[in-house]
Amino acid sequence: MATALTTGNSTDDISQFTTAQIQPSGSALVLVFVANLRGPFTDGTLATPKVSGCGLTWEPVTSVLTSDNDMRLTCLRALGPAPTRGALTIGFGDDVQGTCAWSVFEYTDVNTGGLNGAGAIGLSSSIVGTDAGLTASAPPIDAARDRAVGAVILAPADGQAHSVTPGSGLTEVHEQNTTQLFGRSLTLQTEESAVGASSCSWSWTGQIRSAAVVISIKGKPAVTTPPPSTGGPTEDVIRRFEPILHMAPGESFVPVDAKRYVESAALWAATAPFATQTDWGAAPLVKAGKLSANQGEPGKYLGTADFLVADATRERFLELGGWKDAEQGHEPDTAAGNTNLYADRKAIFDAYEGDLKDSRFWYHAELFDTARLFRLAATVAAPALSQTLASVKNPALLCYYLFYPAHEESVSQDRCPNVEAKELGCHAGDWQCIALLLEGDGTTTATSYTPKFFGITGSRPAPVLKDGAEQYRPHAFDADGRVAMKVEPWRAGSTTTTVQPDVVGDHPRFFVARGSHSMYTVAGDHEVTPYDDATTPFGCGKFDTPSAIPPPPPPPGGLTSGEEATLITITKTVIGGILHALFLGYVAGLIEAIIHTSGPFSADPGPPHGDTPNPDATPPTPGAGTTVRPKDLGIDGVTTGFENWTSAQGVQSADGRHYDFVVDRSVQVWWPSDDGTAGFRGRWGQRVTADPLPRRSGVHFPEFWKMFLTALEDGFSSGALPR
Amino acid sequence: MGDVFEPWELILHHTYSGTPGVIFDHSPGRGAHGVGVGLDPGDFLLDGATAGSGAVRFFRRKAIRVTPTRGWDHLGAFRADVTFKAEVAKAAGRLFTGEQNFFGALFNGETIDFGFRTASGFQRFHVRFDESGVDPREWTTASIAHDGISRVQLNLNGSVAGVWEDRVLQPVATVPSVTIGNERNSSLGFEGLIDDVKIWRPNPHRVTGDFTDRIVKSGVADCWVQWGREFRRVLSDLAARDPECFGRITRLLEDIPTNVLAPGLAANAAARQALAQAVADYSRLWSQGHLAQIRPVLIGLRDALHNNGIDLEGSAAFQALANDRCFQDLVRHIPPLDCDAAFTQMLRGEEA
Repeated sequence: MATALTTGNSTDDISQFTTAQIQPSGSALVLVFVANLRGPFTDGTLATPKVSGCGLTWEPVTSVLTSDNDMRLTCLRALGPAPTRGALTIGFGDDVQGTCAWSVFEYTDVNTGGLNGAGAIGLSSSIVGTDAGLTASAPPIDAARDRAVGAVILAPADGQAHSVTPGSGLTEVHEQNTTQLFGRSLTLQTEESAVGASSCSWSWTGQIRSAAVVISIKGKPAVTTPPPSTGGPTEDVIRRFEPILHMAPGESFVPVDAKRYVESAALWAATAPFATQTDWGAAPLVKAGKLSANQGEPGKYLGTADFLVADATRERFLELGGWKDAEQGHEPDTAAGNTNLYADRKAIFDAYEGDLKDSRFWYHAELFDTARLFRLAATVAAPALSQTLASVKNPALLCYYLFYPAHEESVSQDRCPNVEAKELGCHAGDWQCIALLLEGDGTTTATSYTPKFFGITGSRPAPVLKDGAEQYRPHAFDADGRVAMKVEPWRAGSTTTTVQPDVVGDHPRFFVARGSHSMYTVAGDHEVTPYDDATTPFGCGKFDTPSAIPPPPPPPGGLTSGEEATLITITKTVIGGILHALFLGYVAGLIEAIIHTSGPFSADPGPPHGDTPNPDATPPTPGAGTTVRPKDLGIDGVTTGFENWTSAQGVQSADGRHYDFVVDRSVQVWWPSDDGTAGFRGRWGQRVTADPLPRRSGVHFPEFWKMFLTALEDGFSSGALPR
Repeated sequence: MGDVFEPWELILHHTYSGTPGVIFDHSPGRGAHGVGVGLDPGDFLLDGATAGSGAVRFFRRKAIRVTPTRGWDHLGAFRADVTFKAEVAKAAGRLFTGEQNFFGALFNGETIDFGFRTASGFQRFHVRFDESGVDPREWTTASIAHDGISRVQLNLNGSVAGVWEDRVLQPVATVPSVTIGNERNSSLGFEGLIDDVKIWRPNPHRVTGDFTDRIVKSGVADCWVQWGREFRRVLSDLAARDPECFGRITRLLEDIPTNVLAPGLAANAAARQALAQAVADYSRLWSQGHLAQIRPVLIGLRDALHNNGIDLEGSAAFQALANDRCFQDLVRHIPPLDCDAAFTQMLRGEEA
């Protein structure tokens, strides 16, 4: 329950305000809610307050503006072992404010992890309105410990005070009402819920411009003990940050040991243009179950030169489970008459319910130390990623690789029941990654590292609205445009991002979308924009791109051939040719080619509409599906459905095979080498026919380190990430 | 969905506000990251035209070099915005240079000059800052657009500063490199700051998307899926028979507007008006699915151009296409399209 510390307001036209003296408790989460009203004769973005005092470091949690941009509500947090008695100073730089009001209170029964109270902050949300009430939610991670805290500001046009009524079950902490002669009034009210509640609400009389924020405050967690030392620094740091995955209910595929997949798959050889069965041959190079991933183990060694070929005209791909046709009929091979349209995911699922069952719940992990990371970054000339990296002291990148045996991705689920829409982006073999950029102290012990940024992969989330324009959060796609790495600051809240990810000890928690395996820090459904102009499907997935003519195979390097610019003119002209209307066909094509350049600064008559990607559906609550966790770790809000990670070093099988979860590219041949000239560089799932992009064939193993650093620079240069 | 299918596709967007020395391309395709040449971290300023935006100081031999990749395979038309500030009186220097094909420059602090390559050298378009009430020693945004045929427009700080429609232009060709803040050989360093650079091309996906959108709305998608696959096979077979053929057909197609239409439009305002009207009518009717009404628009355009001295159909360029062995080979092999009556009747007419 909140302990009120102070509240107040000032209508003086000044840029700095001082509260009454307070004495915050040691190790208590102190929250300051500040409302500020635009000062006279000012324009531009309304200033965000900074707070100082009581020997604490104050950090922003969230901030929201009213719809007229004239009033702002900001929450800041602090937590320290021994705060001093004193007043708080609320400053706005040089920006004079018309009115300022504040509410300060604290909680002593919170999660004290993270810096300056970061561990006590859960989900948050904001809302603006112009009606007679507001409701916003911030669901608890642990309903037995967490509570919702909220604040609302009113910006009435009548200059009068308007009192606020808390919603049912909510308790008011403070309320400030200010009025000014010939000036605007301001109301600030703060309130809290009981433990377990997920929202705050308010009501008042009359339709008034308003804004509110709600924050989930995390209660004191169950005691967690750090994982025991394994004796190796790399394994220790991997175990220290081992992730927690909340899988979606109904998920068919979970992370598995990629080496076991290789050993179970067939290896095929394909030649350019790779498009049809003719290009793949009648039989695989190595039949299913006959590959070995380590030299000296049973089977044909994957490291054989011919098995690792990868160039512009030759490709290798793994195949597990065979194919299926449009009617879901199984096709085990490329025999005459087979369509080989889609990977047969049911057969893959069955394999993981059978012989491969014990290879589930496995991740691979790789620690890029400072020297190697700089060496890799220096291979990228533009953008100069080694300079991006230089902003972190002794940087190291810790990557957890998650291999799912299959990926599912569909479009327009609400209006397209056809198989092309359902199967649009489904394929065998799916790589995802969790990456942590660590700052080190120059030693290599597990405790010497501090996370600075984290990255998670999946579909590119929909853009967010910022200053009236749509803007993507920092991200970078892999070279094939199949998966995006999204990068955010590690548990450092700001006025635009919440404290994320949630952690248990040092273990981050991520919510995994069903089928696509996109990862998020927040439960529930997420809108996505996985496609760009060149790859947006049309007609319920019947067209893989905006073009009615499938694109040719991409030339080496993944660049487009350049023919699309003239393809419609050619199409109309040649159709005119066969209709004995060659010239009219040409003129129609010519107009189409110049239609959008004829008025370079004029209005657009309206764009065409491609298919809508289905939202990513992660579990609605943490325990709704399977939770994959570090061994026997207790997790707030989850009581059932646990699976422990099985990843380990030195696992021996009965038939003499060896399994390690720490990546060592010098001996584990299924990883591409750092310079991209050795190791397995083929596809991790079968090629399929009628797949021009390709989108339904298996993926290459992405260069996740490059995606991470590129996304980081994207965030630095767009201002979305702090440097 | 984000901003997709805009008429112009952003293919370079530099803001210079990230890590000093790192030139990041924020365009959707991210195909135009840059490398600093002679620049040190001190040349990267935290603030540019607006608070929080970065800027780069050039001068002398300093430059940013871009070797474009994704999205730069075909330009045709061209748009660019550049925000800059001269730092000395009578400042000079290149704002940007597309190797061999286009450039933007500031000369003697009084004029801004854009040039595009044509068959006879460079066509140049310049305006005096004082005639537009612009002081280049303050932050200034210049916007240039070239429609690929006959029209160039220059805006300064959002206001039209010049429009040229009487020059014979050529499509903007693909460039192997772009240099910002200097000439390619670093001989014309811009004497000032550049804050933001954007370059667009006509969005080819918008053109194909408009075409496919009509197909989907008309309920003839299955027909075109099959036809499209067959057509792709025919194109592949053509490429196998003669790898030069597709490029040759493309070149012949592009020769017609370049060699016949552009000179005619430059000389005749009525022809420009007729084309603009036809484009507007076509766009409206196509998006509404009224294909039957498009045929008269096409015939009307043909006649209007002819009456204004532009005989596209009888031109040597069109006849070269029509009689080309590659083109005839392609027409001979393409599959029949017999399941989209609205489209075929648009070209063939009701009587067929």
